Amino acid sequence: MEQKATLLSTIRGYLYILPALIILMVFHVYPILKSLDMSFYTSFNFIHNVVYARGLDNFYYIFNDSEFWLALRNTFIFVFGVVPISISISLVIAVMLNSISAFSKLFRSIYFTPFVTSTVAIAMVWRWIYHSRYGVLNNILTYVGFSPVAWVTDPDWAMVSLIILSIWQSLGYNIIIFLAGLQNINKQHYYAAQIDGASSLRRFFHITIPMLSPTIFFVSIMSVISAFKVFEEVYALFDKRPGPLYSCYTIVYYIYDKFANKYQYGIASAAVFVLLIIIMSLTLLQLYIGKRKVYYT
Amino acid sequence: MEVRLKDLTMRFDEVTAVDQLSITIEAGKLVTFLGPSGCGKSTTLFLVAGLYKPSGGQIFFNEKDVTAVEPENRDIGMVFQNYALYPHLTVLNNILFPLKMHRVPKKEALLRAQEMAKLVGIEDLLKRKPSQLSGGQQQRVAIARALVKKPVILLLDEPLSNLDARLRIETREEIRRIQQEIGITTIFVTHDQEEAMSISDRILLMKDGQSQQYSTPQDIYDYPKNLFASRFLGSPPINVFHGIKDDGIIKMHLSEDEVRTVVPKHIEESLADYSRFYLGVRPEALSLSNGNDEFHLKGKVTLVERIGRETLLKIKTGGESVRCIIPSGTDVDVEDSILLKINFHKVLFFDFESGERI
Repeated sequence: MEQKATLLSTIRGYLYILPALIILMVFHVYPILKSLDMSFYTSFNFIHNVVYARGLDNFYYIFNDSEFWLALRNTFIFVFGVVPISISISLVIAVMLNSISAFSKLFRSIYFTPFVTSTVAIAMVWRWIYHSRYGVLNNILTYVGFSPVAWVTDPDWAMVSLIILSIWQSLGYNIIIFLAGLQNINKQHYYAAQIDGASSLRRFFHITIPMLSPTIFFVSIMSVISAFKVFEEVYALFDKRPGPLYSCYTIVYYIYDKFANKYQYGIASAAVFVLLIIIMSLTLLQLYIGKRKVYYT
Repeated sequence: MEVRLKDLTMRFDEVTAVDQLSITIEAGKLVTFLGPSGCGKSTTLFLVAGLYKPSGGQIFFNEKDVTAVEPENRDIGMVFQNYALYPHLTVLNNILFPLKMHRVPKKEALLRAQEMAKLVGIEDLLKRKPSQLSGGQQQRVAIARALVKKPVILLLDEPLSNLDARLRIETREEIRRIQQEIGITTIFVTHDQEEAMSISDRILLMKDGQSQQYSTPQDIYDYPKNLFASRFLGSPPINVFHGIKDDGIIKMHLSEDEVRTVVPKHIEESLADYSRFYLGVRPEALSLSNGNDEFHLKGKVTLVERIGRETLLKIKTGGESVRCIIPSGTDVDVEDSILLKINFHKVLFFDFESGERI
């Protein structure tokens, strides 16, 4: 039933959403705006919450801070390590899960479990798996004939360990989303492709991927955003440290370090601002690519 | 390319969708699989295509057993009910797709695609995407895509169901024209008996997975093998009456009265062994009587449908509803009492138990 919006009905509408709106405003919008404002505090008494001066000094500081650039570099390495591999593996597993009918629910639960498990708990277990002497991974390596790797203590391997853990954790969520997308593809397209002479591999590249492109697009954006915000995994895996010799010093860790350990709220906020710009730019870039490449049915 | 099905059977869990089907489809002919929903016609088509693997029996393409061959390797073209065009490709790329899969060189492929587009009449739509085409145009793209790789047989699964009435007639004529021009063996699945009658060389009528009759359209219409066949073909549907032999007199049993009938001598002889049977009278075998005939049906008109070319009447007589066709100019109205006479040369008799035609 279509009714024209009157003043009264509009006010009623707003009253209905007011409780949720208040919560959203207070806990989401206000902190974002406040933290953006904070990035300009050049002189700030955090104990009494008094701002003495505003300016761009915080930004000058972080752009000249080698730690900041290290954090950015590590974060980018992490994102490019995790996102493409995670999406590819999830896609393959989702396609396989989609084609089996027996025990499908069981497998889905198994793959989804990491997503509902606490990151800290996961990191604890992986610390054990990664243990240089007693860890399962090194056991297998030495059994096969390779020399053991100091996964968590070797600065050259720490990032790899972190990436493996993150990929493992992200699979579940991505698989479920891909499964939903796969099940929306009309089976007749596969039949038509089969009759046109396409082998199963070619059907995957010519039918599955194009028709799944909206889903891949969504997963890609979400994964990139989420990967840039990595912190818990680092904190838990490396026992509150940013990896051996700062090898896993990520941008959010930098932000955390600045406000929690050094009480430099202005600088932390400035880093937050920069992170926001980076993520937004990458998202816009993906949207631009998406406009050209994504096929909506 | 001759297609031969031998004892073809398909079971899904408890249900037998196709039951020991054995027929031969001659090369170059258009055969229609006709039947009500769930009779197994689409399943049989999918079996011929290789998309389903049969539970039993064999399929032969020109004496070669292809039962175990994958669809990709069977060299067939198929048109689906909802066209199944690739939505992310242009019309041209849709048609080129099978050629691409068979690794046909680009230049040759382009030529063949354009030739095919011209054959079906869509050569100016090549740059569009399927979503920008009407139903009829999409259908023709699907046909072009199916035929472009010059397959040995063409399979069509209810291709006209999604089109409006006028378009359906035009498109089925197109399909027939193309089929005859190329001379390709074609299997056409439909539940519409008029469609089947108008374009087929032969019709396979199916029910519950079994073949009921396999003959030319006129044959099935004039000499249906059983009651089901007589009822399925013909629009409006045939009128069926009970018949009994009472003291040697053959009577038509209508629910309220019993009426005596007069049947030609040769029919009396063939009905000698039967005491109960069905009479099938097609609407066109009934006509208005002036009361002077030896036998007539008396009834009241309940429905008049003037469809332009003729008029269809629904008459209530003796508790049963009877349909007949009369010339369009006749002055008849609802609630009129009329008399009908039966052309007994056209009446069909069916065994009461088996439904087989006598």
